Amino acid sequence: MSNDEREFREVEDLLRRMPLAEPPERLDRRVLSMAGAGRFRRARAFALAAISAAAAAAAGAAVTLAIMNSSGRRAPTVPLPNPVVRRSEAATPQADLAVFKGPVRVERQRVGRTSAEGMIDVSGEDAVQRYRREGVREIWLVDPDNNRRVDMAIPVKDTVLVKVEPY
Amino acid sequence: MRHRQGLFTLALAVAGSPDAAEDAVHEACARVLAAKESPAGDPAAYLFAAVRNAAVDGRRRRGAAAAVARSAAEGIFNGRQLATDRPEGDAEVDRRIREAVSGLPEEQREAVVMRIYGGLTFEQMAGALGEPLATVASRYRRAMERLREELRGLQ
Repeated sequence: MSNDEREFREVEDLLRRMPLAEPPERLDRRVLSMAGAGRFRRARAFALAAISAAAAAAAGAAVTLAIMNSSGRRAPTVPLPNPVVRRSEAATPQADLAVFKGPVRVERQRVGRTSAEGMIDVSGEDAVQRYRREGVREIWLVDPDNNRRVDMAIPVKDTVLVKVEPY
Repeated sequence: MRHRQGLFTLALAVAGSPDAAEDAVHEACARVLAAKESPAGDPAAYLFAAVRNAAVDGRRRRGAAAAVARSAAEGIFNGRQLATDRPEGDAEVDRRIREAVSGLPEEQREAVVMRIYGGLTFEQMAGALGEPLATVASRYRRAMERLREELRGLQ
């Protein structure tokens, strides 16, 4: 590293330490309301990369969006270690990614923790055991044309009632 | 989201006021959403170009001069946080940094914002500004040289 580069690095560090004026949440809501929900055209995927998750957070979910800029490989790669896949209406099977011309939406839900919350005796019905599940809903929007990806991770909680089977 | 802050900061640096910056980012996203075809090239460069153009257009519509944006460029920093969350001794440092950034020629300031706060590569900056890579890199270098002189002793 040259002296110039070292000194530039010090100036850059000074600048990076300065707190920035943050975009207002109102902006997130304006952009998200424009983008709509559910179906994603290519342009929408690009725009969503610029949007914060604030609106989604307001709806009870913390969403993280990021452009994953891969190294320019043509072949699309969707990380699906556990093939529990739900597709939206607009989605396309993974096997067809190479010929598909639009963004692909892939979702999976991972359960991270399950805790039993006791028995419930429903009058006139069978007893049930209540379980609370916490996990993450992951959504990938992939553009096979350029292998760019928008990732979202939404924390989810739900409750499941399981009928108790007598021995 | 990776570029949210960078896009807004660029819009602020160009437009000069939070409301105008918000409108610029909103308008840029509307343009992207309305596009029938996928934008060519790097999406980050495309978005920064769209926001910059919208901010410049908005400034023209308001009849504001570049000097207005320059004087308001200090607004890219969070004044409240600077006043309350920073060690007392940093006030002078903060003031000098704000003044140094505001004192940059507009095109150099944009380059600094794109690089430092937008995290763009020189290639992406060249794409966003529609200029040769060497021009953009040289502009950034001049900005850094100037800031280095202005901020000498602070590092």
